[in-house]
Amino acid sequence: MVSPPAISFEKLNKYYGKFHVLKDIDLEVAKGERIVICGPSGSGKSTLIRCINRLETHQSGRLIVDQCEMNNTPSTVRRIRDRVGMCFQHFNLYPHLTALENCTLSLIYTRKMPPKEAKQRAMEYLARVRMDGFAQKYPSQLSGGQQQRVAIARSLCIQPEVMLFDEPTSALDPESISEVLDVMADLAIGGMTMICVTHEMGFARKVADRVVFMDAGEIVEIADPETFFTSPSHERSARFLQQIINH
Amino acid sequence: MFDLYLDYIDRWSHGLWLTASMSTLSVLIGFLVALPIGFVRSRAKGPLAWLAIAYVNLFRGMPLLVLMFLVYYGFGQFSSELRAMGLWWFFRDAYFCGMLALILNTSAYQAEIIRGSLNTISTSVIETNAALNLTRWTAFRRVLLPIAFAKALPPLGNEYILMVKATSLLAIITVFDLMGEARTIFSETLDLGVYYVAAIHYLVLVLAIEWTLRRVEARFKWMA
Ligand SMILES: Nc1ncnc2c1ncn2[C@@H]1O[C@H](COP(=O)(O)OP(=O)(O)OP(=O)(O)O)[C@@H](O)[C@H]1O
Ligand SMILES: [Mg+2]
Repeated sequence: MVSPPAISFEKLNKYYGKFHVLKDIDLEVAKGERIVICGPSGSGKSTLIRCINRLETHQSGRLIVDQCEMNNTPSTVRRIRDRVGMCFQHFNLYPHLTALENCTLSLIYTRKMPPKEAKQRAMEYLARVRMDGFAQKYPSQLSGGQQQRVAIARSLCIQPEVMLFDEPTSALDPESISEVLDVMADLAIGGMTMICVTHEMGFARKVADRVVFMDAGEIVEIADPETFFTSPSHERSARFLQQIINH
Repeated sequence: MFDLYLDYIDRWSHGLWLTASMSTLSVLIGFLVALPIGFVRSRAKGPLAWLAIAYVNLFRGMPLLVLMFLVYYGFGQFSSELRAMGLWWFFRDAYFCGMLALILNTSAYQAEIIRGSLNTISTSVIETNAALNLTRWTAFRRVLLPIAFAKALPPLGNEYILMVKATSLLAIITVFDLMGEARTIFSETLDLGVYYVAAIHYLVLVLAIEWTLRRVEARFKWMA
C-alpha cells in the first residue's frame, strides 16, 4: 500500500486583497521527502510554506497536511500545527528564555509534559544539533548559527511529521551557514519530511529529492536537483539560475 | 538644620515611611489595575476598548490634586449614602482616599506604558507563538507579558519616581507623609530649613529607588 502524502496542495489560491500571490498551486509531498523551493524574491515561496501551518490563510483550493484538511476550525489548525515544525529566517528565539527554556516552553504548556521529561527531551534534541553545551545561554549570548540550531531543536522537540524552513541560512555568515546546513542534512538522513525555501544550491543538490521553482505565484517547474540545475526546462528557471550563479 | 532633623527624627521617620510605602503600594496596585487595561488598549476593539480609553483619559486628564479633592471631599458629601453602603470607613479616611487617588492616577499612566510596550512586540514573536502552538494564555503569560514588562521597565521606573514626588500632594488632604510632617514641623519652628530637610529626604528616597531599579534592570541581561 502506498502511504498517503505528508502534504498535498490542490488548486490552492491565495490573495492579498486584489493581489494574487499563489496561483493554482498543485503539489504533493510524500512522507520522508525533501523538497527545496526556490525562486525570485516576491514569488510567493514564504507565503506557500506559511500556508502549511496556517500563518497564512488561503482563499480557495485544498490543503491537506498529514491526512487532515486545513480549514478555519481552531481545533484543526491546532492539530495540524502540532505536527508541523517551522524555522524562520531570523530564528525567532524568545529573547527572555534560555536555549533550553525555548525548547521546553511548548512541551510543558501546550503538550502538558512534566517539566523533567520536557527537559530531558529538549536536551536530547539540543545534543542532536550540537548545542547541548549552550542550554543555559540566552539567545543574545549566541551566534546566529547557534541560534538557528537551537530554533531547529525547538521545532524538533515537538516531534513533528514535517519540518518547514524559510531561508534558514540567509541571515548568516558563511561559517554559520555550513553548521546549520550540516544539521539539516543530518535531519534529512533521519528521514524527516522537509520543505526548505533556500538558495543554497549545494544543499539542494546533496539533500533534495525534488526542487520546486516558483515565479510570480506559480509553480513553474518541479524537477530533481540534477536536472533542474544542469538543464532546467523553462526559460524562467534558466534565467533565475543564471542570476544566482553570477551572484 | 541638623537639629531640625534630630529633634524631630520620629516624625521624619514616620513621614518617610508613609511616603515610601504609599508610593510603592500605589504603584504596585496601580500596575495590577493597569495590566488588563493596557492589554485591552493594545488588543481589543469595541466597547471594552472604549471603556479602557475612557478610564485612561479620565484619570490622566485630571490633575492628581483635583482627583484627591474629589475623592476625599467630594465623596464626603455623600456620607450618609456611603454609610448606608458600608463604605464610609473607607471614604472618611484621608489615607485610603489618598491611596485611591494615587492608584487611579498611576494606573492610567501605567496602562499607557503597558499598551506601548505590548504594541512594540514584533509580529514575528506572535507568529512564533502560533507556529509553536502555544495557547492564548501561555502566549500571554509566558511570552508577551515578560517581553513587554522588560521593555516597560525603564518607563515604569520613571513613573514610580514621579509618584514618590506626587505623594507630597497628600499633605494637602491631611495625610502626614514627608510633606505633611514637614508642614507641621514648620508651623512649630517657623524655620524654612525644614523644607531642606524634606527635600533631602525625597532626594535620598529617589536615589535609593533608582539604585534598586538599576539592579532590577540588570537582571534582564537577555535584553542586550
Ligand atoms: N501581508 C502582505 N500583504 C500584501 N502583500 C504581501 C504580504 N505579504 C507578502 N506580500 C506580497 O506577496 C508576494 C509574495 O511574498 P513572499 O514573502 O511569499 O515572497 P518570497 O518568495 O518569500 O520572497 P523572498 O525571497 O523575498 O522572501 C510579494 O510580492 C509580497 O510583496
Ligand atoms: Mg520569503
